[in-house]
Amino acid sequence: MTALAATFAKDPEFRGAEVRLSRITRRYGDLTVVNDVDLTASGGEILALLGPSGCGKTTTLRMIAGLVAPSSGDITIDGRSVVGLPVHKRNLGMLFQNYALFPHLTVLENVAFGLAMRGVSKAETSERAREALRLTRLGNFEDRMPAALSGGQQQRVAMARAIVYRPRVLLLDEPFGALDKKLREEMQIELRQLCNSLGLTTILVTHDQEEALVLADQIAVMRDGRIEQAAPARTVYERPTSRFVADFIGTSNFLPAVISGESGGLTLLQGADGRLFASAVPNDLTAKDAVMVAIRPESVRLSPGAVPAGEANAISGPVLRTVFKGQLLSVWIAMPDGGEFVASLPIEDTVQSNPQPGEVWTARWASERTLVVRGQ
Amino acid sequence: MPGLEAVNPALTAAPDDTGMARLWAAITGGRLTGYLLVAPTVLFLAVWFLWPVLSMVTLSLTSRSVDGVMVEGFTLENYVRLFSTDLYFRILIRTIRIAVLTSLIGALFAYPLAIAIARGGPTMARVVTITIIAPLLVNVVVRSYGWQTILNKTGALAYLLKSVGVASPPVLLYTEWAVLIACVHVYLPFMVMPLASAIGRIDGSVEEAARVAGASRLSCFLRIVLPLSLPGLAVGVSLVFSLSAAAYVTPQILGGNFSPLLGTLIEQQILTLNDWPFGAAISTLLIAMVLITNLVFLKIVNRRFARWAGGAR
Repeated sequence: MTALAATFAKDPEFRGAEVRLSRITRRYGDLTVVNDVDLTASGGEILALLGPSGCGKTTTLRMIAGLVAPSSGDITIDGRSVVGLPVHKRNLGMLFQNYALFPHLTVLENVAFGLAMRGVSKAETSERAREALRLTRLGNFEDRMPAALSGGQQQRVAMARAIVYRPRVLLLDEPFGALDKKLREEMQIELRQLCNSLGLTTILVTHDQEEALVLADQIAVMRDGRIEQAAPARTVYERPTSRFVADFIGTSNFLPAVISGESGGLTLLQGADGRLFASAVPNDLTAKDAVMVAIRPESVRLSPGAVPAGEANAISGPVLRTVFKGQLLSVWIAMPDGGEFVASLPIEDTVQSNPQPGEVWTARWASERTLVVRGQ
Repeated sequence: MPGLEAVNPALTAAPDDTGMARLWAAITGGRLTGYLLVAPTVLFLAVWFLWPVLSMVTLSLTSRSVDGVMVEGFTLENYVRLFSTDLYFRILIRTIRIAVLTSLIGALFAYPLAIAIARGGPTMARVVTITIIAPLLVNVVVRSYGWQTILNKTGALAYLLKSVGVASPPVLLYTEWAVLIACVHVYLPFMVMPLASAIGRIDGSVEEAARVAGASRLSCFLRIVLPLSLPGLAVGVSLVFSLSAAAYVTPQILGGNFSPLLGTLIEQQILTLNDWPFGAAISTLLIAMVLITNLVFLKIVNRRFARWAGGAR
């Protein structure tokens, strides 16, 4: 595939374009769907717009495509403003949620469409369309009609159609929503390789945090039309800045606390019932901010018995229930204030000591895994 | 379903196993229900449509002696006369021309309106729909006289043209143009409605995909919307062609005696000249013409459509 991509990329100097949104806002009547968004996708990088439905991520993508006009703000592609440039002159590739193949054209004609629109000669059009189909491993389906293809195959046709004219930016709108889990995972890996080998700047809209983590270099988490956090994928997972992000990407236990001080690079916090926390994860929060301590279930280690008084980053209580999840065992512990605390143990760790409901166990976690996030 | 009661009688038999219940079970279990449901319609059409048409076709194969007495027997003389007489043949061609032109011009006007209905907001769709359907609410005679006052030598159109400086405005009344204008006007909804529904069924993201891939609005229409709306266009053309080919009142009032269509000719033959067999022959020809056009058109479109849906070529 890489070899094919190389022949496909006739221009070795090709780089995806930088896409920059500055202060983009979109209103529908009184409703502000996208609110003052600043966002940059550097050339060749994959950026995911992640958020729940209705957060404005699709509208943002459609504004980049030119299908929706922003109410205010500017969008530049490689430094050139595209606001006001009609859709068909933006030279973008786009994948739609339902693939949006042309039902009356064959697979080859579908893929060739963009080239025909660009006035490429007939011979070159069919050669390049075939090349794109080989790249997406659909070489034998040229003469089929879209309706005769499976979901995964239609997805590949849509992909070939979007990349065949070498757009500088590829836009994806929930591209894998209609595929089953296994196929989706396959296509995600394939898409990532394809985008990387073609050097395309890719902007992806998804509500699936796993998909964002698998595909994206950068993740921008959106909420109510605003960017909640934009950072490299791993940073968003490991250092969420708000409760919303920590909750949306992965799962977390949230414990109310107030910042009580700082010592030796550690943020010290005081929780309910005199609980103490120490966090080694950098944050820019102060004692005045409303914060929560967030603990990922997979950061927790469990041991039998109750926690000694005064120990930081530990919590104990009777085991409520355990759930076996294949690679993991999830254990729920009842907290004194009535809440529940969940820990996920690698199944290997449960061979010797297996928590049973009713027993008192203690959950401990490292200060490097103690997240302090904004939120109530 | 017919085998069901054999497998499990309890499925179809009512709990109280009386004679009536068993009879009902036999009826509902079999295909009888279906037949009973369509029977009234079939019966009605057989008596009031099929039988008259058949007797009309039979009538067209008989002839009439000079003094008006019907002659039994089989002859093709009426059809020979229809095609060999220059006047009648010209009327036939004119009818086809009007029907074809009404369909074509109607389609041209219909697309923007259908797109407005299918893609515009709900208010826009409602306003356009009502505006298009409005002429159907007016009686055909009234509507035609309305056009007469507009297209008259001293009518509104002539007045308007004179006031903008056209020295001798064309007189449209009692020409094919008048018939054409009135036909397009009244049959437009029959073109717009099926088109709007066909365009509404086109997935909006398909058009967006074409636009993103580099198609201008015009190319997007020509390459995506137009071919995908063909099923609706076929229905619209069939309806408008049939209706305008069979139009009688409109051409009578607006076309006058200078450009009669088949409908006028039939009326003359049957009511004025009392030549029922010849009138029947013209009617038969009209029906055959409309039927064949519709069948050919739908066949072409169906084949295309099956290809999109089924896939295999």
